[in-house]
Amino acid sequence: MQRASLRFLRRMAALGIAIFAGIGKRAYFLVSATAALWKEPRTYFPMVIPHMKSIGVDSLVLTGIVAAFIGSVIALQTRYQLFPGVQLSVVGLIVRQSIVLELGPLLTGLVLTGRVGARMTAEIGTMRVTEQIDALETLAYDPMAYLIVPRLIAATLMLPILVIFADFIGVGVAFFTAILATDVTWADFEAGLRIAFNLFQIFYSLLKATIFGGAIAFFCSYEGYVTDVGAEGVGRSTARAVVMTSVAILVLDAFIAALFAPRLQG
Amino acid sequence: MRRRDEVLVGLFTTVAIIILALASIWLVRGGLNRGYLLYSRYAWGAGIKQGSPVWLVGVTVGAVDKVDLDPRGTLVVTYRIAREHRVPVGTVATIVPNGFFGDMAVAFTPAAPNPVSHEPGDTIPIGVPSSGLQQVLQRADTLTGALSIMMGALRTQLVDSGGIREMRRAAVAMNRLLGTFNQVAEVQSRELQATLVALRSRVNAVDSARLDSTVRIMQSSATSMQAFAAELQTASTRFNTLLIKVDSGDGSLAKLMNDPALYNDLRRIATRVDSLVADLMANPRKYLKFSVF
Repeated sequence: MQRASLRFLRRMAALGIAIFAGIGKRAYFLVSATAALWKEPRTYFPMVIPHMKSIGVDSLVLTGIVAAFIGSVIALQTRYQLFPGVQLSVVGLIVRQSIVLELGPLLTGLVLTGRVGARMTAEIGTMRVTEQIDALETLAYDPMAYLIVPRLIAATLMLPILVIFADFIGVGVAFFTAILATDVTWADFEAGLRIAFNLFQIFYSLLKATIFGGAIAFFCSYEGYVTDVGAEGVGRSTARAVVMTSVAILVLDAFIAALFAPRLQG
Repeated sequence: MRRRDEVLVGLFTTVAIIILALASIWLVRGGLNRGYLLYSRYAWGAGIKQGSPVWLVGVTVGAVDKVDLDPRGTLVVTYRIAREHRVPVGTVATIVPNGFFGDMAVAFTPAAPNPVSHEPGDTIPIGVPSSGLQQVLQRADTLTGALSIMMGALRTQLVDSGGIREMRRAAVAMNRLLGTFNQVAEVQSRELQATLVALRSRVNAVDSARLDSTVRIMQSSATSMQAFAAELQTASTRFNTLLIKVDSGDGSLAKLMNDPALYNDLRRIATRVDSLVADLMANPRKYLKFSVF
């Protein structure tokens, strides 16, 4: 009995140590990336634009499709859930608040975790496995500046841009869905879009997107950077990166909402 | 390739920024059209804010551009009105509810159609605000509060004090009583029905000719009875007269009834007659002497 308790305590202690070690490693990784950002602009700067294209421009179609369908569904659901007597402009209001404040940034973040984050982990992990990162170090390149920083910058800059498109496409498709498929009129929807609007709502949406972009690049790059040896290690790192980033995005979403929600009233 | 990437990213970013700017301007102000400005002064706490719509007889003609706080107790509200709309002189501005969510709008209401309109920079006088949704909601809140108190009292009376239990018991007892009533009513109904059936059969059994003759006999009997009663009354009257005469002491009978001496004389006579008869029976030869030859 005592032996079992001791074993359990030992396991718990090992788990706690592993958690703190993981946090420490990530913190160290972040500090290294920040140092590289400060010290090596010549190394990472030329790499930023290709990554911006890869993360931003190349993801536009996927993001647009997701936003369009989400906007359409929200418009239809909102219209048909309204009880009689509620003015139809509420459809515009709910569509705007749902897409701009929540679903635009969140779904874009989750979609890009799958599309861009997994790719980042796989790329960097393969480089780690094939010792290309060691080769970079041998050639006196800072791998953080060459591999991690451009991705961090690109993702942090491109996520808000993608979210602008996602919000626009989502609200636009919801607008046409509401007008063409329900009894909501152009004037109703337009009036609803303007009810209780303030610019902080846009800022909030873009702030979330920026943080989500940074989280995607950070977690996915880290998992690739510390990949175990072998192809299996790359696969495992990729899966772990997607899961951890998705959870991190949801946690950050809740945290940002708790922090800024009181300021969102129109 | 690198150049192409730069152009694509630049284009992508520029389009996003343009969309963001235009959408924000459209949402906040309704577009790039600057329009012209009008003003009003409201009391503090009017509930109006930047971006609220401005309606001219129900048509959206602009939006609230700015709300400035005047420390003397008023709000200076600046309206931005679209150029194609003119606000007639004689218009008053009132703050009205806009939807369920506590938003407000400004309603311009002209007194009458007027070809003369306000110039940019004019001040629109404010009108009397109508009873809005806020008041209705407050009233609803009051009613809800009162209802809640009533429900609380009812709960105390009916649930906590066992009122519902009592009512249930009373209902059960009432049901029982009604059941008994029903049984009694059924029995009564059955008996009444049997009586009706019997009566009907009796009525059917009656011979109308015999009934007619019986009625006639009864009629003649009644007539005879009537005559008899008349005669009886006459006799009674006579008897009364006789009695009066007896009472008044006229005649032999009256004297016999009213005079004790006469009565005593008669008793004495009767006694003597009795003794005479007895003596006669004992000694007939004393009084009767027969000789045939």
